[in-house]
Amino acid sequence: MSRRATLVAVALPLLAIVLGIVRAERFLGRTHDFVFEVGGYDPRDLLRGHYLQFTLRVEPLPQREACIDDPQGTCCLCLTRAQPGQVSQIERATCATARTECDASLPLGVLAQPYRYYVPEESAKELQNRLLDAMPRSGARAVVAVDSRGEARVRELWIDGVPVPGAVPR
Amino acid sequence: MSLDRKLARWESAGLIDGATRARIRAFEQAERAPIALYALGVLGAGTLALGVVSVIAANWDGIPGTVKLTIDLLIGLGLAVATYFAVRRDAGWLAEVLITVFYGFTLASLALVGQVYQLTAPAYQALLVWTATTLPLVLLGRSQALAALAVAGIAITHALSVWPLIEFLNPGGGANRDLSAAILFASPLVYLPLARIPWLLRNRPAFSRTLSVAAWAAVLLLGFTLQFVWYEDVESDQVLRWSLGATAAVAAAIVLALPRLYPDMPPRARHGLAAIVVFAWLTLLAGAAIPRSSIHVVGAVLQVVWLGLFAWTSIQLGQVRAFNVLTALIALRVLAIYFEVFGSLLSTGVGLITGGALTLAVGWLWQRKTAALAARLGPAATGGGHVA
Repeated sequence: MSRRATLVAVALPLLAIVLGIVRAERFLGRTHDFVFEVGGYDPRDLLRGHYLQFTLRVEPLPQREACIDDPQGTCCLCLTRAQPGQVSQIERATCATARTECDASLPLGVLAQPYRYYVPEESAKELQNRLLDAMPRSGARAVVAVDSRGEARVRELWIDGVPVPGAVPR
Repeated sequence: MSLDRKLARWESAGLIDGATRARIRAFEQAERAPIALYALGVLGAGTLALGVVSVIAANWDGIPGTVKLTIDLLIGLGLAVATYFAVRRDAGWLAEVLITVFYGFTLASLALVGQVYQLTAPAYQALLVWTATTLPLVLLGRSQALAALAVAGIAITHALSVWPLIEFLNPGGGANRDLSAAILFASPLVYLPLARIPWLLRNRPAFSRTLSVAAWAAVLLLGFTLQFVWYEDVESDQVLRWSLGATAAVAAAIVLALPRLYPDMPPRARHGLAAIVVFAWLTLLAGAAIPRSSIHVVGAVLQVVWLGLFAWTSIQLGQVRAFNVLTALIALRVLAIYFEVFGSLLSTGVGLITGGALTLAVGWLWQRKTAALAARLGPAATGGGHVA
């Protein structure tokens, strides 16, 4: 193989890793944080190897205005930032309203989607038990970074006001 | 039987003398040493890479994410530089080991990025990035062991990406039978021409051979699985439509390309491969083109015929070991039929008589064909192993 081809072959994997980091950093740079309550994930085995699985929970979900609630419908989540540490105000609204009048909007489907949070192996079991214990008391919260395109990633996880190791710093 | 035992047997039978025995032994040892060395190297490097993945998966929180990523990038840079110089200097074993470590390290690093940034993207996306960006890297290697590792990586990535691809092409459409049938039918066949790209054949014969074998093995597996369609009812809204035309085009293209793909292959073996592809399409047509009730026995018999086609082609290719394995699989499938037909005394009896007769026929054919094959191939039998 030529020198250039060899160089490309060894550089490409590095480039993939660097681009992964750059993409993640750029995403963080264009997002705002919103706080959600955390609910269980069905099946209720929250610990999957080295990450916790859960859903974002909004119960009850207030309705800001009427919308059609199906996969091709017009319903979105309208997010409004609250005081630091407090759960954000989340309402159901039309996607048009959510995009123009709210701090951020998300598709309704995010409430049914399982989210992952990577945790240290040695404390995974204990964290799962604490999460299971806190969820019914509304004691588990997720800080979610949301961008203007409606993409959401969990950035921090809190159980009874204590941060779980693994938070993504801004 | 080990080489030493074989040589001792041949010497005691007067076929070779002591000096010939020593020469054969020395020749075989010299041939084996690099293979073992390369296999050990890739195995060791693969284990090392797996260890890195495992350490990362443990998600040790003693080190902040940014430090983890910085160390990871520095190691990656070191590996890239070392691999570059090893390949440029034609370092052989060392180059193979470094490529293998770098290959595994890349996957571990992508996982680390996902972990540090709490990314929840599905696994197939990371695997696709990994496979695409490391393909030129693994093509720097020349050993069979590295080729096997890379082909396994490609196979896993492909298997995990098929369903997301169907969903991507048909968003919200659920299980689209036509799309699924077309993609699944074409999946292993796509790799047959890819494995025979002239550059690959000329410069990386081990990779080309491994990819070809893996593709045909996938054809064997998927074709066998396809016959399970006979175990299900096909309703009028479940029959295949446009995919029958698309799969026919794919099958025809492969059959027509066989002489160019395998110009040195005996014509009868090529005919065997063509028959396999055509048979796969015909059974897809017969099984899913019209509404019908389930007919288990047809599926079971077609599976035996399918394995038989592969066994016959293996004989034509002189692949004795493959032929023996396939014959054993046929016998196992026939045995499974016994259990499938247990029901009333009459059906059980008929099933057992048919199954017993089939097993005897398989045994007789196996004994007859392997003896003929042994005579034809003589001591230069390819594909390794004993004939019987």
